[in-house]
Amino acid sequence: MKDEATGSEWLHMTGESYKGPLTGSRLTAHSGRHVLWREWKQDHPNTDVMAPVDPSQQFSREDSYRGTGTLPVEFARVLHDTHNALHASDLLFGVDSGVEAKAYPFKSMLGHKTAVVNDVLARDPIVVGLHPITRSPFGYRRILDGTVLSLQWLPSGHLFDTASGSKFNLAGRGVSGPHVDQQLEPLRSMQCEWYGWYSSRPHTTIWTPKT
Amino acid sequence: MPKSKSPEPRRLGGITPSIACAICVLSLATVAMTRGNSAPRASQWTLNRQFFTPLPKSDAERFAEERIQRDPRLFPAADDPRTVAADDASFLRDDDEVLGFVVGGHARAYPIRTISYHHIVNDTLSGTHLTVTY
Repeated sequence: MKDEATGSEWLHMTGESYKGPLTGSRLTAHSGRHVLWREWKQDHPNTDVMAPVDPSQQFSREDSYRGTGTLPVEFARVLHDTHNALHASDLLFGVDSGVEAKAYPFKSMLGHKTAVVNDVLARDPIVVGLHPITRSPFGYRRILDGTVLSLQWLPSGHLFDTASGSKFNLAGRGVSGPHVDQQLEPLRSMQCEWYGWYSSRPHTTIWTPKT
Repeated sequence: MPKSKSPEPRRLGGITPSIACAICVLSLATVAMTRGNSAPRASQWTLNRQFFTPLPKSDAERFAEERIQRDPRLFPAADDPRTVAADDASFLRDDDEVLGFVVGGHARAYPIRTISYHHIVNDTLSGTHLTVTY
């Protein structure tokens, strides 16, 4: 990215400036969710939505948004040699605590028995998961009122904390139980392809299911 | 990203299908023009005109043209885009993907089909200046 005001250039994957007068500066990250429109509307009924600037200025539903067609040969080789179980365009949910980065490949999570992972990242208890039908990922700190939660998947599409009996929707909002109306803190995270995550966080670890 | 979020990525090129269609159309057009020795009948000319109608431009072609018209080194960012209420978003289907943000209690969604075209959206939400990238 390049900002017209200063001429500085920025990495869009991290928000860090690497060239120009603002080199070394970092934009504040906002946690968002990458979901289907129906999921977002359900969780946020009062939402508004960006309209296309012009009907022609959007990709058709049949087009591909993938960006791996032009990877430099050398980079593709490094990707393969680093972790050959992942294809360059494999989708993942990446979490970056600022201290540690970890990738949760979709295909690994879908192979997990519940597609919900209670994990620890940089000593912080987190929960990461993937809706098994819509393929929408989510990630939150699993601490509320000083208590570490252990969240399980419910067939209704909710998360359930067995200790407290609280139920959360996938937007991280308590919908019943002692934690009703409380919000789990979203993680700094993104859904992306493996090549993009690796290029910006080459020291990332990769989650694999326990066998 | 695929609209249906299927587990395997779809592999659709924006240009290859157009080339394939063009080759197919040219072949048919050639057959139509060379068939028979007499002057073409009116119905044949109508047919040929139909064959030579320019093909719709692919997303990739439109995108490339727009980039060149501006600055070929830069993608066409969307600045302060127009927004509509969820009920008025007839351009979206329920299974379209969006990036959603909540800032200061205000929720806003950015359709992937649109932001993947611009790559960058400069917006303001609850007084916070946001850059949404994809």
